[in-house]
Amino acid sequence: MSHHIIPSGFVRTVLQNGVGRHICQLQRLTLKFCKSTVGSKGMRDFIENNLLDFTRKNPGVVVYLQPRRHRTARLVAEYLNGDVHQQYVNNFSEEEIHEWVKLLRSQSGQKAVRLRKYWHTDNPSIQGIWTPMTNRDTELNIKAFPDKSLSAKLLEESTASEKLLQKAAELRSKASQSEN
Amino acid sequence: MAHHRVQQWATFARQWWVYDATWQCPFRSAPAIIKHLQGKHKPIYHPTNDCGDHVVVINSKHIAMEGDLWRTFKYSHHTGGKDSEDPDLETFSENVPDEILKNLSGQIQQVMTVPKGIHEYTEEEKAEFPALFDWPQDHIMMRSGPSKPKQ
Amino acid sequence: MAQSGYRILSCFYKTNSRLLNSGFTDHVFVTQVRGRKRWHRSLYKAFYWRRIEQGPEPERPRSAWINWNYDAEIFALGQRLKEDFTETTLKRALTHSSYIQKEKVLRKDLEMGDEVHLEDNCELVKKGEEFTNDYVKAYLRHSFPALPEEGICSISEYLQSDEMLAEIGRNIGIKDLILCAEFPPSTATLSQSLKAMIGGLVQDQGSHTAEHFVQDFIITMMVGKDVMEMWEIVNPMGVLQSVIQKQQHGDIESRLLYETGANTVLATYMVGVYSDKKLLGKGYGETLSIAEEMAARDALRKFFGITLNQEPLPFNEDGHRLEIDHRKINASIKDYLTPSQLQ
Repeated sequence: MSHHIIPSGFVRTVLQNGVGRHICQLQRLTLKFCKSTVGSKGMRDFIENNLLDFTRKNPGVVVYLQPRRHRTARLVAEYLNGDVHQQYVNNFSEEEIHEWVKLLRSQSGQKAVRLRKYWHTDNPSIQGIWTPMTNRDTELNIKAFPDKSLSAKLLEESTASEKLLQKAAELRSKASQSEN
Repeated sequence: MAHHRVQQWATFARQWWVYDATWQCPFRSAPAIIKHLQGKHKPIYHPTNDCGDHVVVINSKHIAMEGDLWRTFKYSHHTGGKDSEDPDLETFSENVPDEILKNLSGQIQQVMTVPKGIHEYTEEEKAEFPALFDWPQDHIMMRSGPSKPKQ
Repeated sequence: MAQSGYRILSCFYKTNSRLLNSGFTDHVFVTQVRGRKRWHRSLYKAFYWRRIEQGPEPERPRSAWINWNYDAEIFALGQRLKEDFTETTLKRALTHSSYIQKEKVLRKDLEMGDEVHLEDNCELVKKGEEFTNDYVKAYLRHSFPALPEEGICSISEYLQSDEMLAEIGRNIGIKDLILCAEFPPSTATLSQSLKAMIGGLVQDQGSHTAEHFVQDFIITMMVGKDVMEMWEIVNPMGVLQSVIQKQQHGDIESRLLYETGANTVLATYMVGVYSDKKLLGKGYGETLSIAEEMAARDALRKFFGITLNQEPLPFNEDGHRLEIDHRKINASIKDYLTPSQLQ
């Protein structure tokens, strides 16, 4: 019932990222906080202690600081595919904000949906997709249906009558040999 | 584009099978036939996937049944509805039409062995069949064929 | 909201001043009213539909917002792509001539003088286009040695089409950085800017680095794509016949491998194409002629090395190690065809 309401999708990358070189999908990170309120304390600590490490390690991400009075702390992440993700981090500790920043950096901009499959391939088959002709005995091409030989039940063991006839044939050949 | 279309057409192709019901018990043949009608003989089987095949059952007139069952058997079912009669067993004696014969692409193996009747043995085979003893000259054999019509 | 939940006490004070004066103010009470006013729903509904009526907000360039630093963005672009661009080259590659024209007009209007100290990207676009064309074709010729030249050209056209390059440019992050007259930047402008970036790389870093760039961003778009969908072969049976003749094998014979439901709407046929009693390819179809055509196409796939289960294209370390002969050109399909088929 909820399968068509809760969005679902498949694993995708932006522009075959990773097949050639991998580029960080986070384009811009804006840190919005207040310089005085308690809620932004974690954010202020993060900026003091961890931000420069982050920018040195990720020179491809542009970081903007927007101190605004009496506003709650938030992280605004803009991705290469155009998506914008806002994360409210008011009253978060410095470590929590650090974890969130790490997450935002490692995400691609695609929406978080339930993944229907955890894999994707453009070439699902190497030997060829099954058809009724795969592994079909080519002798059937020259048979006309209905065919008696195909219809008869195949037995693992020979019948008693067949065994009897075999035995009789053996005895007869032995007898003819002894005569000779 | 064309490749995907024909690939799907081939993978989900509906096959036509033929089953010879001569000397076969219908209740025992049913599982073999059902397997092909459902599509469970295919690796692409799924209950929501329309992957079943056609099965043409021929010689249904010659099925093997115990005693009077070919005449007296009724397919019973309880639908909860009133006055619904249980249908009889129905066999068909017409020849298979040519159009259907042309569609066939496979044969399902029979489930029971068909015993070889005495009339299917040639005279040579009858003579050659190993025997422990031979009948005396004046012995009268019981009639081994259909009775001749009274004149 | 706190205010709406409480009846403001001041109204009691104003209206019931006799009560205040008579000493009934010792116990101040506030009654809490939960929920919204009756007019709330209809008012906000009206706001909503009026806003919808006005249409969506007009798209604005990213630079319109306050958190924008062009120099920082340019630097980040180079770093993100892991390339050592010089700032001037990169800025030049992203400056369109239409922007310079616009600036000139603007300055004239403001009587600031005609000089605009910006260079446009025309030269870099040409360099980039030429380089991309050469390298993409050379890479494809190396990866598909048996594919005729027409097939190589079809793939190369697909990869270097404006739409493809624009899509690549958008997802790399240059659409906010391009300086051009129109907004949003058109497909042509985007593709030109990407080509200019490649031209800039060739200029600054040399062809080796630029080759890796083209491989990683443009040629990777071939992953998962079927060559037969990009390159149309007309009369595959005829082409197959010529290919076979060229290789001096026996004539082509098509044989029916499987058929089912011949008299039905869902008839399926499988046809195999043989030469010298060896199976070249098989195809399936709704009718015999379709199946035969698909069998010929299957055989051609095998001859031209563009089967669906072939090895993937080389990228990263394998791609960097390639020794490509830029002078080599694949055989044209015309070499296979007889004079009558050419007409």
